[in-house]
Amino acid sequence: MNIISRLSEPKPAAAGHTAQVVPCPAGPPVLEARAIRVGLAGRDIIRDVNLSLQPNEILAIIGPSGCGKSTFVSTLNRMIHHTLPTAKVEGEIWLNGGLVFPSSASAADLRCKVAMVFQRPNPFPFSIRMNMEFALKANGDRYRPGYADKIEQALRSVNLWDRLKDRMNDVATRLSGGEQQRLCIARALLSDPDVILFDEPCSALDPVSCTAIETLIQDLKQRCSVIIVTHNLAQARRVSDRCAMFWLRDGSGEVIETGPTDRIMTAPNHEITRAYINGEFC
Amino acid sequence: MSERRHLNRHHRRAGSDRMGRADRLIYLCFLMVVSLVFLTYGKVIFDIASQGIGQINLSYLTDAPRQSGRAGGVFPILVSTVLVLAIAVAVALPTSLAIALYVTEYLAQGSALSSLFRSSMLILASVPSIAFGLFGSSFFAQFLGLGTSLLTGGLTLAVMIIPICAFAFVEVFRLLPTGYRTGAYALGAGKARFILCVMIPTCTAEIITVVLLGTGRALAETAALLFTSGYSDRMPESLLDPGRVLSIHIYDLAMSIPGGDRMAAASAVLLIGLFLLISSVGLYFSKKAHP
Repeated sequence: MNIISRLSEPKPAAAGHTAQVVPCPAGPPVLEARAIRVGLAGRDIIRDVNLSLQPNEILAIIGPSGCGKSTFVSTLNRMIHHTLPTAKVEGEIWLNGGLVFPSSASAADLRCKVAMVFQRPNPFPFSIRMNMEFALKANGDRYRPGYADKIEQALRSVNLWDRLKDRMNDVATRLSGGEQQRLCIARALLSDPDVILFDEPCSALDPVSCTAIETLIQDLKQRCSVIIVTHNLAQARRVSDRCAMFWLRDGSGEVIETGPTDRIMTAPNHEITRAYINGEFC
Repeated sequence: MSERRHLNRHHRRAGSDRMGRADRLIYLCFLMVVSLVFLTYGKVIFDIASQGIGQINLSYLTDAPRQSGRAGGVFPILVSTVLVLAIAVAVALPTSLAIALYVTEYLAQGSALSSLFRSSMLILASVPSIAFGLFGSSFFAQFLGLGTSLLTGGLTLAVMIIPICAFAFVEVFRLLPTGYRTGAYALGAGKARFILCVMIPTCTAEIITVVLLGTGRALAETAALLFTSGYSDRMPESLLDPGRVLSIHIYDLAMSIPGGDRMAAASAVLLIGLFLLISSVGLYFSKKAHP
């Protein structure tokens, strides 16, 4: 099966936006990273990272600054080629059972299925409608009459439709920080991704907006899988099903422990994880 | 205890007074420099305007020059100027945009080739315009056989302003927030879509400003056009005809035509007016692009 057909495999239909507890089914992972190593200027930023993500699961990546969490996440949809163009990436990344790295398949197709939301909201300085239409066009959607419905559906998913339906021609950068971030999530949802990567999505937001984003991430679990990088342990505890603890060893980031969030937060196996959770490095 | 507090307060106040005096001194220095510069430019504009504005009327704008420019109007010269300028901008804008996009989007930042491009553009931007005139004369006029013509003049001006515009475009594109780039690529956009749908629309106002900068430079140019577009003050019939631009007309009237000073001043007023008109139109579209 080629990459394009794998990327376009049917997915469960999206449900409404009310949060429900969806158990994480055991089975083949939706995304799997095997022996990932990222080298830059003769130094390994991360090495030997093995992680998998189950369907409809929220995986939180925790750990101190500079241990390669964001670098790892940006390798998953090959955004690293834009953020660190000279970085050398080794290892394998599998999506829905298909090898997507190394692969000659288009990175753009991969990014439609493994979407990403960044630390700072990054809407373009155009109207809200144009921001959404850009995402549809970037996904290769050429059926313009269907745009309005898709945009409405995506904005409803992030609870923005009622607030923005009469302001679709307003400049997106004039929205509040929280609204901008939700708009960016709505934009990412337009490609109907299998996985959404959140790289510290709340670090530039106020607590109210942060709560709205967290609720939204839990809602998203019903339609796709989520990886969230966070420094906020309380946030990881609130939103995630599973945690992966990154740590810097000999100058390179490694995963030192993974497990269900409840266990990692209450009874971690690794001494460093326990100390980090208990704030003993402060 | 209270005495020490009083002394501390006194010292603080003395310090703030000293700072206040220094601030005032610096403010007065700046004010003096700004006033001096404005007065100088004001005097230049006033002298030119007082001599030339009386000569400008409708027939000056619509008639051909007579008696080597001492009488008549400047219509063929205005037409030549606009044509040379249009050729220069039409060639320089896409070329310099292409260079800047290649440097910013396709070359790794800090790479040897990128540094070479940037330093070459900086050096070329500071080459004296007479050197471009000589190049235009030997390459476009003689080697390509275009002769002394508006086309040769326009192309020479384009070659002259390409490094200026390309260097400025590179700086504009480098200042684009990283979030727009990562945001577009993360949505699955390719490089072409990012450039055409995000980068250029976002930078439209800055692109217009850079074009205005290049246009101003081209409009005022004399040396590069001396050997390329020619002196002929007849109405050009094609782009391969020679034609005299306003700056050369001013130069000729002021330097070679006895009694041509008043008409030179009138042409200078017209040149300034033309640039103000182009700038106003540019700024209107620039504001429209970034409301």
